[in-house]
Amino acid sequence: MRLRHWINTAPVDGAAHNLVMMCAVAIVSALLVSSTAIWLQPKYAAHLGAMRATSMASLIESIPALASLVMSSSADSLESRLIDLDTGCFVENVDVDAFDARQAENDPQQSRALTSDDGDTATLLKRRTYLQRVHLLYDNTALQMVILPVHGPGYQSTLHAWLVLAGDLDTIVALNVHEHGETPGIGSRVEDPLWQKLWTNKKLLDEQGNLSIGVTQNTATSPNEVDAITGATRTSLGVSNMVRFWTGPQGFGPFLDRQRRGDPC
Amino acid sequence: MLNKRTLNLIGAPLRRNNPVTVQTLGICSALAVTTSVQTALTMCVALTAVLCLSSTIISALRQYIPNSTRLIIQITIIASLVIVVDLFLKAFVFDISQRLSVFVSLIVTNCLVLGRAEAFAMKNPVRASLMDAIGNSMGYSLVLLIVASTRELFGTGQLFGYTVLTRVEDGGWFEPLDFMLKAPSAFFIIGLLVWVGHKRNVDTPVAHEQHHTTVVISDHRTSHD
Repeated sequence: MRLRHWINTAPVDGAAHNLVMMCAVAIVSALLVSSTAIWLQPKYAAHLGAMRATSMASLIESIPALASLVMSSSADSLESRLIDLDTGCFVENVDVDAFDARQAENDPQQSRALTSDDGDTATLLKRRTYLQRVHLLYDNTALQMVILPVHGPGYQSTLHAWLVLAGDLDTIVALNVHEHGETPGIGSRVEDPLWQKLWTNKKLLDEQGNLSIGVTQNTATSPNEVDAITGATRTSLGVSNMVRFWTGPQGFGPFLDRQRRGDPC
Repeated sequence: MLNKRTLNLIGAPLRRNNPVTVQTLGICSALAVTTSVQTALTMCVALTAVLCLSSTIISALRQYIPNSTRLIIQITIIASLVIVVDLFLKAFVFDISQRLSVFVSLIVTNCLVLGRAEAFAMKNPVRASLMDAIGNSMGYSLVLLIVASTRELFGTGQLFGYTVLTRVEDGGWFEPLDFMLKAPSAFFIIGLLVWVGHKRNVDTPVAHEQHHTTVVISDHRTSHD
C-alpha cells in the first residue's frame, strides 16, 4: 500500500520516479523477451536444422560432379569427420553427430578467443572452436572433394556457407551461402546462384603457393580473383574474408596443408 | 458498445486519415515487403499485434510515464514487443519470416507505432487507444494489401501464389511487368494513393479537424550496403 501511495503521490517527473519507472519497464521487458526466446528456441532450432539439411541436399544437387559422384559410389563414401583445427589431424574419440559447432564456439571449454597476434585475418571472428566438422567425398579411396562449413561476418549479419574444394584441395568446386541476414535485394545477392557460380574453378593458392583467393572490386583477371557484387561491397568482402580466414592458418589451413602433403598424423 | 466515437476512431484511419497515405507514417515497410500478398499480409499481422499491444500498454501506463524519458520508455516497450513477435514468426511461420528478414525487426523504427503512441496513446484512455490502434493497423494493412496485390498481380500474374493471369511462357497472353517487382514501382503506387488521399481530404472540409492528431516523424531505413 505504501508503494501504491508513493507511486500516486511522487512527482511524475522527479528523478526517483524516472529511475523506478525506467528500471521497472526494462526488467519487465527483459523478462518478457528472454522467456519467450527460451520457450520458442527449440522450435526455431528445429526449423534451422531442417533448413541446413535441405541446403546440404541442394548443394549436392547443385553441383553435377558431386551428385554424379555420390550416385556412382557407395553411400558411405560421403563421410563426416571431426578435425583438430590447430594440428589439422582427425579426431576419433568425439561423436561427430553430437558435435554442435555453434554451441561449441561460445563454450570456453571447446573454443578459444582470437587475437590480432593470430594473424591478419584472425580478428574476423572473436572466438574459434578447437574442433570443426568436415565432409569428405571419396571415390574408391581417392579423395574427390572436401566440403568445409565456413562462417563469418557480412555487412549486418553472420554469413554461413559451404565451401567445396576439389581433390587437389586448391580448386574451388562451389561456394554456397546458405544462411545470412543481409539487406534484402542488395547484400542478399550472396545467395544468387549466378554470383556463387563465379567461385567455381577459382584457385585458393597463387603460383608461389601463397593463399591469395579473394573478391576484387575491379574486373577479375587471375584465377584467384572473384568479382564483387555491385552495391554490396562490404557483404562481398565479408565473403572474401570468410573464405580467406577458413582456408588460412587459423581455419582449415593446417588440415589442408597436411592433406596436400599426404602427411597422416 | 460501439458508439459513434469508437466507430470514428476505427474508421477515420481507413477513410480520411490513413496512416500511410495521409499521415505518411510507415512508408519504408510499405515499400519493402509488398512484392507478394503473402509477405505483406504477414507484415500486417505483425504490425497489428505490435501496434495494438504497445498502444494498450503505453496508454495504461501513461500516468506513470515521466514526460522527460517518455520516448525511451515507449521505445523499450515497442522494441520488446517487436522482438517477441519476431520470435513467434520464426518459430511458427519460418519460411515467411525468412522472406521478411529484417523488416519485422524494423517495425521498431516504423514511425507509425511510435507516432500513434506519442500522439494518441499517451493522451487517451486504454479503450480509445486500442480502437485507435486497430483503426490505424487496418489503415496501414489496407494500403499494404492494395500495393502488394497490384505488384504481385502485374509482376507475376499471380495472387497469393495462385495464377490469375496466365503468362506467355505458360501459353497465356500475360507478359509479366518486371518493373512491378522492383522497389520503385511501390513508390509510384504509394505516390498515387497519397495523391488520392490528399485529394479526398481537400474535397471534404471535415478532414481538417482530423489533422491535429497527425505527427510526421521522418521515416528512415537503417541499412545501406
